[in-house]
Amino acid sequence: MMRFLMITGGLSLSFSLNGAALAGERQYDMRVDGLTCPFCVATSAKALKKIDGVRDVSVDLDLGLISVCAAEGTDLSDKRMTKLFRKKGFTFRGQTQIETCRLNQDAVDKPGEAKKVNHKPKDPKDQPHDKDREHREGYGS
Amino acid sequence: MMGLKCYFDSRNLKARVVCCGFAVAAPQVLAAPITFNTALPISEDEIILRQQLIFTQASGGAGVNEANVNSLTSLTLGGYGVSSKWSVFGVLPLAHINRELGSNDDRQLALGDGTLFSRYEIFRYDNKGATTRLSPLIGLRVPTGKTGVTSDGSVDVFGGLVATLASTQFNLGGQVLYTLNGSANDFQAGDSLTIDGSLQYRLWPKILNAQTRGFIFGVIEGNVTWQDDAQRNGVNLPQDSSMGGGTSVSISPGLQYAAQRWILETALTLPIADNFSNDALRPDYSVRTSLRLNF
Repeated sequence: MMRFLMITGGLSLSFSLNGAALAGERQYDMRVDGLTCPFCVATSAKALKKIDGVRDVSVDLDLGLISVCAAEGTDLSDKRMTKLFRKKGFTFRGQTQIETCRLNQDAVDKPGEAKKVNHKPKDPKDQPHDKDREHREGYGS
Repeated sequence: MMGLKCYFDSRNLKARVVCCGFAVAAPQVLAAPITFNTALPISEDEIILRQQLIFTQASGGAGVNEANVNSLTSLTLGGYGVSSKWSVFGVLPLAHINRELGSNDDRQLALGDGTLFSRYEIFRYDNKGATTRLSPLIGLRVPTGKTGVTSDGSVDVFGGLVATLASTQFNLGGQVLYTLNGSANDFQAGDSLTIDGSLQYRLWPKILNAQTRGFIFGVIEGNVTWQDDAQRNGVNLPQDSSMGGGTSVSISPGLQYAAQRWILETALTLPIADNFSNDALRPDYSVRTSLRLNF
Protein backbone atom coordinates (compact mmCIF):
# COMPACT_ATOMS: atom_id res chain seq x y z
CA MET A 1 0.00 0.00 0.00
CA MET A 2 2.77 2.36 0.99
CA ARG A 3 4.62 1.53 -2.20
CA PHE A 4 1.44 2.27 -4.27
CA LEU A 5 1.04 5.67 -2.62
CA MET A 6 4.67 6.58 -3.29
CA ILE A 7 4.37 5.64 -6.97
CA THR A 8 1.09 7.50 -7.53
CA GLY A 9 2.41 10.48 -5.59
CA GLY A 10 5.55 10.53 -7.69
CA LEU A 11 3.59 10.32 -10.93
CA SER A 12 1.28 13.15 -9.86
CA LEU A 13 4.26 15.34 -9.07
CA SER A 14 5.82 14.47 -12.40
CA PHE A 15 2.66 15.37 -14.36
CA SER A 16 2.22 18.63 -12.46
CA LEU A 17 5.83 19.57 -13.24
CA ASN A 18 5.23 18.84 -16.92
CA GLY A 19 2.10 20.97 -16.88
CA ALA A 20 3.94 23.88 -15.31
CA ALA A 21 6.72 23.73 -17.91
CA LEU A 22 4.34 23.78 -20.87
CA ALA A 23 1.93 26.37 -19.52
CA GLY A 24 4.53 29.14 -19.81
CA GLU A 25 4.91 28.85 -23.58
CA ARG A 26 2.79 29.11 -26.68
CA GLN A 27 3.37 28.49 -30.35
CA TYR A 28 2.22 31.05 -32.89
CA ASP A 29 1.93 29.85 -36.49
CA MET A 30 1.96 32.89 -38.74
CA ARG A 31 1.13 32.95 -42.41
CA VAL A 32 3.41 35.43 -44.11
CA ASP A 33 3.37 36.04 -47.86
CA GLY A 34 6.34 37.09 -49.94
CA LEU A 35 8.91 34.82 -48.29
CA THR A 36 11.01 33.40 -51.11
CA CYS A 37 14.60 33.08 -50.02
CA PRO A 38 16.97 32.21 -47.17
CA PHE A 39 17.51 35.93 -46.64
CA CYS A 40 13.77 36.35 -46.03
CA VAL A 41 14.06 33.69 -43.33
CA ALA A 42 17.01 35.39 -41.65
CA THR A 43 15.60 38.90 -41.64
CA SER A 44 12.20 37.73 -40.33
CA ALA A 45 13.73 35.59 -37.60
CA LYS A 46 16.04 38.41 -36.55
CA ALA A 47 13.15 40.85 -36.20
CA LEU A 48 10.99 38.39 -34.26
CA LYS A 49 13.76 37.39 -31.88
CA LYS A 50 14.16 41.03 -30.85
CA ILE A 51 10.73 40.84 -29.22
CA ASP A 52 10.89 40.14 -25.48
CA GLY A 53 9.53 36.68 -24.77
CA VAL A 54 10.25 35.15 -28.17
CA ARG A 55 12.38 32.06 -27.68
CA ASP A 56 12.59 30.40 -31.07
CA VAL A 57 11.56 30.93 -34.66
CA SER A 58 11.23 28.44 -37.48
CA VAL A 59 10.35 29.25 -41.08
CA ASP A 60 8.91 26.96 -43.74
CA LEU A 61 9.36 28.72 -47.06
CA ASP A 62 7.23 26.30 -49.03
CA LEU A 63 4.24 26.82 -46.76
CA GLY A 64 4.91 30.51 -46.16
CA LEU A 65 4.68 29.68 -42.47
CA ILE A 66 6.62 31.20 -39.59
CA SER A 67 6.33 29.37 -36.28
CA VAL A 68 7.25 31.25 -33.14
CA CYS A 69 7.69 29.91 -29.63
CA ALA A 70 7.09 32.63 -27.10
CA ALA A 71 6.35 33.05 -23.43
CA GLU A 72 2.70 33.46 -22.56
CA GLY A 73 1.73 37.11 -22.63
CA THR A 74 4.24 38.07 -25.32
CA ASP A 75 2.84 40.80 -27.53
CA LEU A 76 2.52 39.15 -30.94
CA SER A 77 -0.71 40.85 -31.87
CA ASP A 78 -1.86 40.95 -35.48
CA LYS A 79 -1.35 44.70 -35.52
CA ARG A 80 2.23 44.44 -34.34
CA MET A 81 3.03 41.58 -36.71
CA THR A 82 1.50 43.41 -39.67
CA LYS A 83 3.76 46.37 -38.98
CA LEU A 84 6.83 44.25 -38.33
CA PHE A 85 6.55 42.26 -41.55
CA ARG A 86 5.67 45.33 -43.60
CA LYS A 87 8.94 46.89 -42.47
CA LYS A 88 10.77 43.76 -43.57
CA GLY A 89 9.10 43.80 -46.96
CA PHE A 90 6.59 40.98 -46.49
CA THR A 91 2.85 40.66 -45.92
CA PHE A 92 1.42 39.25 -42.70
CA ARG A 93 -1.86 37.39 -43.35
CA GLY A 94 -2.81 36.01 -39.96
CA GLN A 95 -1.89 33.57 -37.23
CA THR A 96 -3.11 30.70 -35.10
CA GLN A 97 -2.04 29.81 -31.59
CA ILE A 98 -1.21 26.44 -30.11
CA GLU A 99 -1.20 26.11 -26.36
CA THR A 100 2.02 24.15 -26.23
CA CYS A 101 5.16 24.83 -28.14
CA ARG A 102 6.27 21.89 -30.25
CA LEU A 103 9.00 23.76 -32.00
CA ASN A 104 12.53 22.43 -31.43
CA GLN A 105 11.74 21.70 -27.81
CA ASP A 106 15.31 20.82 -26.94
CA ALA A 107 16.68 23.99 -28.48
CA VAL A 108 14.06 26.26 -26.96
CA ASP A 109 14.49 25.27 -23.35
CA LYS A 110 17.64 24.72 -21.46
CA PRO A 111 18.76 21.16 -22.15
CA GLY A 112 18.06 19.99 -18.61
CA GLU A 113 14.57 21.48 -18.55
CA ALA A 114 13.67 20.03 -21.93
CA LYS A 115 14.49 16.58 -20.67
CA LYS A 116 12.36 17.14 -17.60
CA VAL A 117 9.32 17.93 -19.70
CA ASN A 118 9.50 14.70 -21.60
CA HIS A 119 10.85 12.69 -18.74
CA LYS A 120 9.40 9.26 -18.34
CA PRO A 121 10.18 7.62 -15.00
CA LYS A 122 12.43 4.64 -15.54
CA ASP A 123 13.42 1.81 -13.34
CA PRO A 124 16.94 2.53 -12.04
CA LYS A 125 17.83 -1.02 -12.95
CA ASP A 126 17.29 -0.18 -16.63
CA GLN A 127 19.65 2.82 -16.57
CA PRO A 128 23.05 2.11 -18.07
CA HIS A 129 25.94 2.67 -15.74
CA ASP A 130 27.54 5.90 -16.92
CA LYS A 131 31.22 5.25 -16.40
CA ASP A 132 32.16 8.14 -18.63
CA ARG A 133 30.17 10.54 -16.51
CA GLU A 134 31.80 9.24 -13.38
CA HIS A 135 35.17 9.71 -14.99
CA ARG A 136 34.36 13.25 -16.17
CA GLU A 137 33.10 14.32 -12.79
CA GLY A 138 35.95 12.68 -10.96
CA TYR A 139 33.98 10.60 -8.51
CA GLY A 140 34.70 7.32 -10.24
CA SER A 141 38.40 7.41 -9.70
CA MET B 1 26.69 46.35 -70.22
CA MET B 2 30.08 47.36 -71.51
CA GLY B 3 29.32 51.06 -71.54
CA LEU B 4 31.27 52.81 -74.26
CA LYS B 5 31.85 55.93 -72.28
CA CYS B 6 34.88 57.34 -74.06
CA TYR B 7 36.07 60.86 -74.50
CA PHE B 8 39.10 60.81 -76.76
CA ASP B 9 39.05 61.55 -80.42
CA SER B 10 38.81 58.43 -82.49
CA ARG B 11 41.72 59.56 -84.68
CA ASN B 12 44.04 59.01 -81.73
CA LEU B 13 44.75 55.33 -81.66
CA LYS B 14 46.19 55.18 -78.16
CA ALA B 15 43.46 57.33 -76.72
CA ARG B 16 40.88 55.07 -78.31
CA VAL B 17 42.31 52.09 -76.51
CA VAL B 18 42.59 54.01 -73.26
CA CYS B 19 39.00 55.03 -73.25
CA CYS B 20 37.76 51.68 -74.39
CA GLY B 21 39.89 50.20 -71.65
CA PHE B 22 37.76 52.13 -69.22
CA ALA B 23 34.66 50.88 -70.86
CA VAL B 24 35.84 47.37 -70.32
CA ALA B 25 37.17 48.01 -66.85
CA ALA B 26 34.09 49.68 -65.50
CA PRO B 27 31.04 48.06 -67.03
CA GLN B 28 27.69 49.59 -66.18
CA VAL B 29 27.37 49.01 -62.50
CA LEU B 30 23.63 48.82 -62.76
CA ALA B 31 23.61 45.95 -65.19
CA ALA B 32 25.61 43.38 -63.31
CA PRO B 33 25.34 39.96 -64.93
CA ILE B 34 24.73 38.25 -61.61
CA THR B 35 21.67 39.73 -59.88
CA PHE B 36 21.45 43.37 -60.85
CA ASN B 37 22.56 45.82 -58.27
CA THR B 38 19.32 47.67 -58.79
CA ALA B 39 17.26 44.67 -57.69
CA LEU B 40 19.19 43.87 -54.54
CA PRO B 41 16.72 43.08 -51.77
CA ILE B 42 17.05 45.16 -48.63
CA SER B 43 14.78 45.63 -45.64
CA GLU B 44 14.16 48.72 -43.58
CA ASP B 45 17.11 49.80 -41.46
CA GLU B 46 19.35 47.08 -42.86
CA ILE B 47 22.65 47.35 -44.67
CA ILE B 48 23.87 45.43 -47.67
CA LEU B 49 27.45 45.14 -48.85
CA ARG B 50 28.48 43.60 -52.14
CA GLN B 51 32.03 43.10 -53.31
CA GLN B 52 32.65 42.07 -56.89
CA LEU B 53 35.85 41.17 -58.67
CA ILE B 54 35.63 41.39 -62.44
CA PHE B 55 38.21 40.24 -64.92
CA THR B 56 37.68 41.33 -68.48
CA GLN B 57 39.63 40.51 -71.59
CA ALA B 58 39.12 42.65 -74.66
CA SER B 59 40.79 42.95 -78.01
CA GLY B 60 40.61 45.35 -80.88
CA GLY B 61 39.57 44.93 -84.46
CA ALA B 62 41.74 45.67 -87.48
CA GLY B 63 41.50 49.40 -86.82
CA VAL B 64 43.11 49.08 -83.42
CA ASN B 65 46.08 47.09 -84.66
CA GLU B 66 45.14 44.11 -82.55
CA ALA B 67 45.33 45.88 -79.22
CA ASN B 68 44.79 43.80 -76.12
CA VAL B 69 43.27 45.14 -72.96
CA ASN B 70 42.59 43.27 -69.79
CA SER B 71 41.41 44.62 -66.52
CA LEU B 72 40.67 43.54 -62.99
CA THR B 73 38.04 45.68 -61.34
CA SER B 74 37.00 45.69 -57.73
CA LEU B 75 33.44 46.92 -57.42
CA THR B 76 32.27 47.77 -53.92
CA LEU B 77 28.60 48.43 -53.25
CA GLY B 78 26.91 49.58 -50.08
CA GLY B 79 23.18 49.96 -49.62
CA TYR B 80 20.81 51.04 -46.86
CA GLY B 81 17.09 50.45 -46.44
CA VAL B 82 15.69 53.84 -45.43
CA SER B 83 12.22 52.33 -45.26
CA SER B 84 10.59 49.15 -46.49
CA LYS B 85 10.08 50.84 -49.87
CA TRP B 86 12.92 53.28 -50.16
CA SER B 87 16.59 52.30 -50.38
CA VAL B 88 19.80 54.08 -51.33
CA PHE B 89 22.99 52.65 -52.79
CA GLY B 90 26.53 53.70 -53.56
CA VAL B 91 29.07 51.95 -55.78
CA LEU B 92 32.80 52.61 -56.14
CA PRO B 93 35.05 50.80 -58.63
CA LEU B 94 38.80 50.40 -58.43
CA ALA B 95 40.39 49.20 -61.64
CA HIS B 96 43.73 47.81 -62.68
CA ILE B 97 44.02 48.13 -66.44
CA ASN B 98 46.66 46.53 -68.58
CA ARG B 99 46.88 47.74 -72.18
CA GLU B 100 49.08 46.21 -74.80
CA LEU B 101 49.49 48.19 -77.97
CA GLY B 102 52.09 46.59 -80.17
CA SER B 103 55.31 46.69 -78.16
CA ASN B 104 53.91 49.22 -75.67
CA ASP B 105 52.59 47.98 -72.39
CA ASP B 106 50.70 50.41 -70.18
CA ARG B 107 49.42 49.57 -66.71
CA GLN B 108 47.24 51.78 -64.56
CA LEU B 109 45.56 51.42 -61.19
CA ALA B 110 42.87 53.97 -60.49
CA LEU B 111 39.49 54.62 -58.94
CA GLY B 112 36.59 54.64 -61.31
CA ASP B 113 33.56 56.90 -61.30
CA GLY B 114 31.35 56.46 -58.27
CA THR B 115 27.65 55.83 -58.62
CA LEU B 116 24.81 56.81 -56.30
CA PHE B 117 21.26 55.71 -56.84
CA SER B 118 17.96 55.51 -55.04
CA ARG B 119 15.10 53.08 -55.54
CA TYR B 120 11.48 53.40 -54.46
CA GLU B 121 9.02 50.53 -54.58
CA ILE B 122 5.70 51.55 -56.11
CA PHE B 123 4.06 48.16 -56.47
CA ARG B 124 4.22 44.96 -54.48
CA TYR B 125 2.04 41.89 -54.50
CA ASP B 126 2.90 39.07 -52.12
CA ASN B 127 1.41 35.61 -52.04
CA LYS B 128 2.47 32.29 -50.56
CA GLY B 129 6.16 31.82 -51.35
CA ALA B 130 6.15 34.44 -54.07
CA THR B 131 6.36 38.17 -54.62
CA THR B 132 6.13 40.65 -57.47
CA ARG B 133 7.73 44.07 -57.14
CA LEU B 134 8.18 47.11 -59.31
CA SER B 135 10.44 50.02 -58.49
CA PRO B 136 11.61 53.08 -60.37
CA LEU B 137 15.10 54.31 -59.66
CA ILE B 138 17.20 57.35 -60.31
CA GLY B 139 20.88 57.99 -59.87
CA LEU B 140 23.99 59.75 -60.96
CA ARG B 141 27.57 58.89 -61.75
CA VAL B 142 30.14 61.29 -60.37
CA PRO B 143 33.67 61.73 -61.74
CA THR B 144 35.70 60.25 -58.90
CA GLY B 145 37.85 58.40 -61.40
CA LYS B 146 41.19 59.39 -62.84
CA THR B 147 40.52 61.58 -65.82
CA GLY B 148 41.94 60.01 -68.92
CA VAL B 149 42.15 56.58 -67.39
CA THR B 150 38.92 55.59 -65.73
CA SER B 151 36.81 58.71 -66.11
CA ASP B 152 35.88 61.36 -68.64
CA GLY B 153 35.18 63.91 -65.93
CA SER B 154 31.47 64.26 -66.61
CA VAL B 155 28.48 63.87 -64.32
CA ASP B 156 25.95 61.44 -65.78
CA VAL B 157 22.35 60.91 -64.80
CA PHE B 158 20.33 57.74 -65.20
CA GLY B 159 16.86 56.51 -64.43
CA GLY B 160 14.77 53.47 -65.05
CA LEU B 161 12.55 50.75 -63.80
CA VAL B 162 13.39 47.46 -62.12
CA ALA B 163 10.97 44.57 -61.77
CA THR B 164 11.21 41.33 -59.80
CA LEU B 165 9.07 38.22 -59.85
CA ALA B 166 10.40 35.89 -57.19
CA SER B 167 9.32 32.54 -55.86
CA THR B 168 10.95 29.79 -53.85
CA GLN B 169 11.73 27.92 -57.08
CA PHE B 170 12.91 30.71 -59.38
CA ASN B 171 13.47 34.44 -59.62
CA LEU B 172 12.90 36.60 -62.65
CA GLY B 173 14.39 40.06 -62.70
CA GLY B 174 14.54 42.77 -65.28
CA GLN B 175 15.51 46.37 -65.64
CA VAL B 176 15.35 49.14 -68.18
CA LEU B 177 17.74 52.04 -67.72
CA TYR B 178 18.37 55.21 -69.68
CA THR B 179 21.59 57.14 -69.10
CA LEU B 180 22.08 60.77 -70.02
CA ASN B 181 25.81 61.21 -70.34
CA GLY B 182 27.17 64.62 -69.42
CA SER B 183 29.83 66.62 -71.17
CA ALA B 184 33.40 67.34 -70.03
CA ASN B 185 36.60 68.35 -71.78
CA ASP B 186 34.62 69.06 -74.98
CA PHE B 187 33.58 65.42 -75.14
CA GLN B 188 30.22 63.80 -74.51
CA ALA B 189 29.64 60.07 -74.60
CA GLY B 190 26.45 59.02 -76.29
CA ASP B 191 23.35 58.42 -74.20
CA SER B 192 22.53 54.79 -73.64
CA LEU B 193 19.58 52.49 -73.12
CA THR B 194 20.18 49.26 -71.26
CA ILE B 195 17.82 46.31 -70.94
CA ASP B 196 18.70 43.41 -68.66
CA GLY B 197 16.94 40.18 -67.88
CA SER B 198 17.82 37.55 -65.30
CA LEU B 199 16.54 34.09 -64.49
CA GLN B 200 17.70 32.27 -61.37
CA TYR B 201 16.46 28.72 -61.01
CA ARG B 202 16.86 26.79 -57.79
CA LEU B 203 18.91 23.65 -58.38
CA TRP B 204 19.36 22.64 -54.75
CA PRO B 205 17.73 21.67 -52.47
CA LYS B 206 14.95 19.99 -54.36
CA ILE B 207 12.62 20.06 -51.37
CA LEU B 208 12.34 22.87 -48.85
CA ASN B 209 11.68 22.52 -45.17
CA ALA B 210 12.28 24.39 -41.92
CA GLN B 211 15.88 23.19 -41.88
CA THR B 212 16.71 24.71 -45.27
CA ARG B 213 19.56 27.17 -44.83
CA GLY B 214 20.66 27.93 -48.37
CA PHE B 215 19.88 27.66 -52.08
CA ILE B 216 22.04 26.95 -55.10
CA PHE B 217 20.74 28.74 -58.17
CA GLY B 218 21.63 28.23 -61.79
CA VAL B 219 21.61 31.67 -63.40
CA ILE B 220 21.23 32.92 -66.93
CA GLU B 221 21.18 36.61 -67.73
CA GLY B 222 20.97 38.60 -70.91
CA ASN B 223 21.80 42.18 -71.76
CA VAL B 224 21.05 44.50 -74.65
CA THR B 225 22.66 47.93 -74.72
CA TRP B 226 22.11 50.64 -77.28
CA GLN B 227 24.38 53.66 -77.28
CA ASP B 228 24.17 56.86 -79.28
CA ASP B 229 27.16 58.33 -81.09
CA ALA B 230 29.58 60.31 -78.97
CA GLN B 231 30.04 64.03 -79.57
CA ARG B 232 33.12 66.18 -79.68
CA ASN B 233 32.64 69.94 -79.49
CA GLY B 234 28.94 69.35 -80.03
CA VAL B 235 29.43 67.41 -83.26
CA ASN B 236 28.52 63.75 -83.58
CA LEU B 237 31.49 61.49 -84.18
CA PRO B 238 31.06 59.23 -87.19
CA GLN B 239 29.12 56.06 -86.57
CA ASP B 240 31.88 54.04 -88.18
CA SER B 241 34.50 55.37 -85.77
CA SER B 242 35.40 53.65 -82.54
CA MET B 243 33.33 56.30 -80.74
CA GLY B 244 30.32 55.63 -82.89
CA GLY B 245 27.15 54.29 -81.39
CA GLY B 246 25.62 50.89 -81.77
CA THR B 247 23.92 48.01 -80.09
CA SER B 248 25.47 45.06 -78.31
CA VAL B 249 24.03 41.84 -76.93
CA SER B 250 25.61 39.57 -74.34
CA ILE B 251 24.69 36.55 -72.28
CA SER B 252 25.89 35.54 -68.81
CA PRO B 253 25.49 32.05 -67.42
CA GLY B 254 26.35 31.74 -63.75
CA LEU B 255 25.97 30.03 -60.45
CA GLN B 256 24.89 31.41 -57.11
CA TYR B 257 24.81 30.14 -53.55
CA ALA B 258 22.36 32.06 -51.37
CA ALA B 259 22.67 31.60 -47.62
CA GLN B 260 20.71 33.46 -44.99
CA ARG B 261 23.12 36.36 -44.59
CA TRP B 262 25.48 36.07 -47.53
CA ILE B 263 25.51 35.19 -51.20
CA LEU B 264 28.44 33.93 -53.24
CA GLU B 265 28.10 34.08 -56.99
CA THR B 266 30.03 33.84 -60.21
CA ALA B 267 29.22 34.42 -63.86
CA LEU B 268 30.84 34.38 -67.26
CA THR B 269 29.77 37.09 -69.68
CA LEU B 270 30.06 36.36 -73.38
CA PRO B 271 29.31 38.81 -76.16
CA ILE B 272 26.76 37.55 -78.66
CA ALA B 273 26.59 40.28 -81.27
CA ASP B 274 27.12 43.97 -81.88
CA ASN B 275 27.10 46.44 -84.72
CA PHE B 276 29.88 48.72 -83.57
CA SER B 277 32.58 49.90 -85.88
CA ASN B 278 35.43 47.56 -86.80
CA ASP B 279 37.71 50.04 -85.04
CA ALA B 280 36.03 49.47 -81.72
CA LEU B 281 37.62 47.49 -78.96
CA ARG B 282 35.41 44.54 -78.05
CA PRO B 283 35.18 42.45 -74.93
CA ASP B 284 36.08 38.80 -75.53
CA TYR B 285 34.77 37.62 -72.19
CA SER B 286 34.33 38.73 -68.65
CA VAL B 287 34.38 36.71 -65.43
CA ARG B 288 33.01 38.01 -62.19
CA THR B 289 32.86 36.72 -58.67
CA SER B 290 30.85 38.39 -56.01
CA LEU B 291 30.21 38.17 -52.29
CA ARG B 292 27.16 39.85 -50.79
CA LEU B 293 26.48 40.37 -47.11
CA ASN B 294 23.32 41.53 -45.38
CA PHE B 295 23.42 43.06 -41.90
